[in-house]
Amino acid sequence: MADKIGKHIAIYGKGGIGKSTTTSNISAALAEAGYRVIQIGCDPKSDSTNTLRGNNYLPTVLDSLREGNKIHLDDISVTGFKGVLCIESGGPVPGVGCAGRGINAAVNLLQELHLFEEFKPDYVLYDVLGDVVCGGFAVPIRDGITDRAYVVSSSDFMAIYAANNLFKAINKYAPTGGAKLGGVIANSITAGYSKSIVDDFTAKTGTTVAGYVNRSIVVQQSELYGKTVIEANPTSEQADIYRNLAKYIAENENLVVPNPLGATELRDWAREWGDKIYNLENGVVANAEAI
Amino acid sequence: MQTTIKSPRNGCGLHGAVQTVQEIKGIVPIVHSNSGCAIQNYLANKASGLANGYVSGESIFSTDAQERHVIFGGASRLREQIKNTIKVADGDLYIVLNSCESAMVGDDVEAMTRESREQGESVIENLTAGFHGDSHYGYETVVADIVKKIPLVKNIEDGKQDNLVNVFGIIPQKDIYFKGDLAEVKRILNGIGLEVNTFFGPVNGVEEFTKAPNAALNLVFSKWGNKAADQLGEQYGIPKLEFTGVPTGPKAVAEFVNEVAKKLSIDEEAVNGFLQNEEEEFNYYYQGLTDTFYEELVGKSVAVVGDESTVVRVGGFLKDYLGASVEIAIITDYFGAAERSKEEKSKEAVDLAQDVYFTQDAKEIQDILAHNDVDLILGSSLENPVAEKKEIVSLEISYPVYYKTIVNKTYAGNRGALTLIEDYSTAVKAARHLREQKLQQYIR
Repeated sequence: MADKIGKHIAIYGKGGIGKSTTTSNISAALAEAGYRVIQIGCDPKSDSTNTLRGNNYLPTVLDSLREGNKIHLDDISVTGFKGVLCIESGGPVPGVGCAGRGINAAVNLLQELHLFEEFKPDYVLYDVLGDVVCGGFAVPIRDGITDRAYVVSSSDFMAIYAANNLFKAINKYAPTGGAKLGGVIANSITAGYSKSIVDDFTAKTGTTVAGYVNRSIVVQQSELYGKTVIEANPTSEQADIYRNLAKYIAENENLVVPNPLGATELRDWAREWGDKIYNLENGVVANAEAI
Repeated sequence: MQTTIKSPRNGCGLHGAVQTVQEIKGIVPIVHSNSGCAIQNYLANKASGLANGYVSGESIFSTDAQERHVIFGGASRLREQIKNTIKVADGDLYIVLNSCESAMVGDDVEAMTRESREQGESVIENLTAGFHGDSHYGYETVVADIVKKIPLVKNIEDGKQDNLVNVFGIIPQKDIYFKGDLAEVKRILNGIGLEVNTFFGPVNGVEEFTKAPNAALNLVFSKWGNKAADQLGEQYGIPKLEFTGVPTGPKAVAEFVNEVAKKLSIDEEAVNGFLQNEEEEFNYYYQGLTDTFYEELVGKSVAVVGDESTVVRVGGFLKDYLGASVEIAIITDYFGAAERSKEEKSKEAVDLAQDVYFTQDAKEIQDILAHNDVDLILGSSLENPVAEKKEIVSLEISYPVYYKTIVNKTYAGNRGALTLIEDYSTAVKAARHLREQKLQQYIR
């Protein structure tokens, strides 16, 4: 979309991997740097923007849609840390209805309300529920709503599996105007090999790592304060990690269409790594390439 | 493999279920879908010139689901609609039919109907969801479900009846003469002392469904009747007799009646007496046809297009009684089993015609007809254009039918066979008229 206002960025990743924490810290870092930022949580759990708005009450877009009343932007948004505009798409109660269609409807409604024309953002971040389980969750990377997606992944196999699934979706939609991949955000990096695993996966799929976020107690502490690291621990090393990540994402124009691994390929790749790290832990001396 | 199907003559599963239940007197359908699903059925059948039943057509109740019912689930909307429907429409039985969208969202339809039943209402459900199959599937699944679930809401009286039979497999509206067919089948069976549950027609269908478990035999008149018959077999141990189609003409009627009589051990003398009367009556009219038969009918080549049950019995009668040669038989109700050979699909059709095809693609059907020379085409209104192009006459015998009003006509039994004789020989004469008109142009 040539007339799109601001850069629209979708952030995906397996549930519980730290998408919301990472996205909120990126939003906070961008806002701190003086940009106008909107963060839209695209998850029925509707807790994406908690740490940005200090847990202030925020009715979700779909809650308002359910009421059937005329909706104003003010009803479904709240201003958080350094002016970040927080929005939650929301969704049905668990086990009922279709959350995927809900995200679709919420994004449509935001466009109808002229959110971007009104707010004139520099950056819009969509924090999207884990796996791309159906068409509805692919909405933010389809039809030109965003032009770039990032995926948060640790070195856990299931997180990489989810990332690979997102690659498949991007691969499918990019040729018809869908988003391309900006990179992988390597999260919860601990042991020496976890960085290598993510690196190897990106190399195999023709993608790059946007940044490494170490596992840190500061993140946990900030979360428990109900704040982002940028707000709660602005001088910490971890805050700088997020600032650098935000800077990279803000400036990165190297967008690619990834080459996802096939099911067998992915399994074989994982098995190989399984052997490598087992041998490493058990002190087996062998050719330790890529470690 | 990708294929394109032009004008498929079979609607979706929901379409089949709606057109079935709306012909059962006493049933009120509630369609849990957006408003289009119910109205499409009405428009499709209206175009076919068919009459509708009690709560039918545009009066069918619908939850009229909107986007918010997809997102948040539509079960509570359905609960509301069930209550409202019961308030405004008297019914002996309410049946909820769900749609593709409610099935995809996973609305718990059963929980809603169970709740209504707990409140003492006669509400059951059939999770039809259009995408499960075509309109034939809709018929078989909804009838089987009514059979299965009616004990949940109605009292089924104990007491087997040796002289009671159930009739399945004649599909309302899809079989364009279903009303007349059912009436004639009933007349024949009454003739040998049997009582009949037809479920459709001017009877209380719901009441007949409550009596169905007491029947001694299920009679199945097309492959689409098996599911309901087997359901009754499983639940109540009722055996079944399966026929490819309803009998047309004295030979088929006699075979049919004898088979039923044998199964139910009906007095042979009474059966023979009935059959003799039937044959005599038929022959009286048939013999009046002698001149026409030799002068005009014998040796005509025909193509017959329609569902298996129609093609086999109409084609068979034309061949046996009117001297026709069935060159082409096109069967329009085989799906999803293309890998099977045609012999496995329909032995009767193979025995009947020189060439047998299985397709519901109007383009393919038109091509087959265009490349074969026959004197007459018997099919649906969709075959009219190719007949016109070839300057031959067509006779509408299968769905859809656009240019006929059908009240209680039938080609079934002996009386229906006489109607078929009338229609067929009139068509042959119309063909002669057409030829004569063409020749007129050479006369100054």
